[in-house]
Amino acid sequence: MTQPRTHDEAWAELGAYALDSVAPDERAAIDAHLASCASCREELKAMTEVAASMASSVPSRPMDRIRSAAVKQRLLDRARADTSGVRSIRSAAIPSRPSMLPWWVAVAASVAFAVAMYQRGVVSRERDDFRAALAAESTRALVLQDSLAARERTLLAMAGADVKVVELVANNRRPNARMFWAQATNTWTMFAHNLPAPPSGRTYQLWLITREGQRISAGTFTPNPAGSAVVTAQYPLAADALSMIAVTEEPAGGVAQPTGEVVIAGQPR
Amino acid sequence: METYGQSGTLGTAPGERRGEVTEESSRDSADLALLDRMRAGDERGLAELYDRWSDRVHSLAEHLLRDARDAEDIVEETFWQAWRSAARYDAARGAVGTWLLTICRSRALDKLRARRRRPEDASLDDSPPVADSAADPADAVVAGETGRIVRAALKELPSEQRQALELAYFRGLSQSEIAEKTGQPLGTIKTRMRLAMNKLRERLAPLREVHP
Repeated sequence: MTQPRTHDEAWAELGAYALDSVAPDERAAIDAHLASCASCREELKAMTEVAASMASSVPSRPMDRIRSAAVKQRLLDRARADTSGVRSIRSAAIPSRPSMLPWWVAVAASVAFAVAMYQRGVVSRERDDFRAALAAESTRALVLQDSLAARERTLLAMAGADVKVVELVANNRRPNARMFWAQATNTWTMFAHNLPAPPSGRTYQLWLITREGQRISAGTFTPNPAGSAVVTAQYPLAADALSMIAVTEEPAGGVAQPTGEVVIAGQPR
Repeated sequence: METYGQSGTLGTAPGERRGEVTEESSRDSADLALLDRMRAGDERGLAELYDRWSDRVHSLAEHLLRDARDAEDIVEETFWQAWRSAARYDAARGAVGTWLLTICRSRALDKLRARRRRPEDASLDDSPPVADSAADPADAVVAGETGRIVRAALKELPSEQRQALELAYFRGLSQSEIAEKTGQPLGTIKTRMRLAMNKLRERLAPLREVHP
């Protein structure tokens, strides 16, 4: 049996506890101490946040949009059923009664019952098919709605009266890009073309550079096989604060400050 | 081509970007509001929470499991558990995002242990990131920046300390299992893990300030 933990012993193990890396008997001993120690509970909360932050170090791998919409639809169906209290239909035993009817009525009833059950089976299959089709249509509608909303956001970010456009070019005129800065919504949308694929282990990183020399990362990106990319970001910046926009080639995952070669750059006019 | 030099005026440190800090704080408030709606039985709250967090939950699940279909199952189960246990969520124990990612990790590690196949080559360095493409561009920027800060903090740790953390977090190994796997005494592993967590906490302090 594990000995009870002193305050110092428990405190020292809270990091491992937050990582769920302590043995069950050690966990029980720490739990016992936590029950009576407010400062250790507070320390554990901080350690839990530190442990959870490791999830942020994982590279972004968004789910396929169509599959994500399907998962979402399944969740919503389950939640609706949960809310409305719908449960699977229970089969209940029907008490038998002695028959008071002539034999031919029983035969006719059996035939009618068989026909009804057959029809019910057909209707049931048709209903299932209809439900499946409806679910597929709902999923498709969700995907279209998402797509439409994204396009509307992009249009708004490009077409507003306050939108400032910055051309980004390279010395050899290939590749190039155009940045739309919607100042009212602090939205930045860049369309880039003719970008070569970055070398293995490298990525492109977009920078907003202010007149005061701040180099603000607006995210990393990889162009599609045709060399095109659309990058969106949101960052508040005073109307006269922007000095330059640049794209650099950096180590995969990006860097806090630019270190690599400028691939394309442009200044507001 | 031009090249940025290492000298010159330093830019704003990531943790000091006030615009993003405000963004992240308001995201937490929005998450709490969605949980309130879920507690009231409003499934649209679940739908919005899914839109905000499913990509990050999926990223973690796929990184842990290295299997797209298994990762999808974990995403569904994570949000289903969130729906069923929204009433028991305690904001004093951490942010909503932390809670979701903790559920995801726990479920994924259960699956990992069940199939007894661990991604032996799992390492942050050999997982090439793709463009940040969360549903909301602002979320993508914040998530990307947070990730960069955490990755930088991890890389600053001595390799043996970082290894202990990664084996615990990404593979779900206990300290005893890590000691066995690395051939080090259990006491050494405990010390490494304690030092690593304290250093990480120190380096990530600017992030924690937005989750008071």
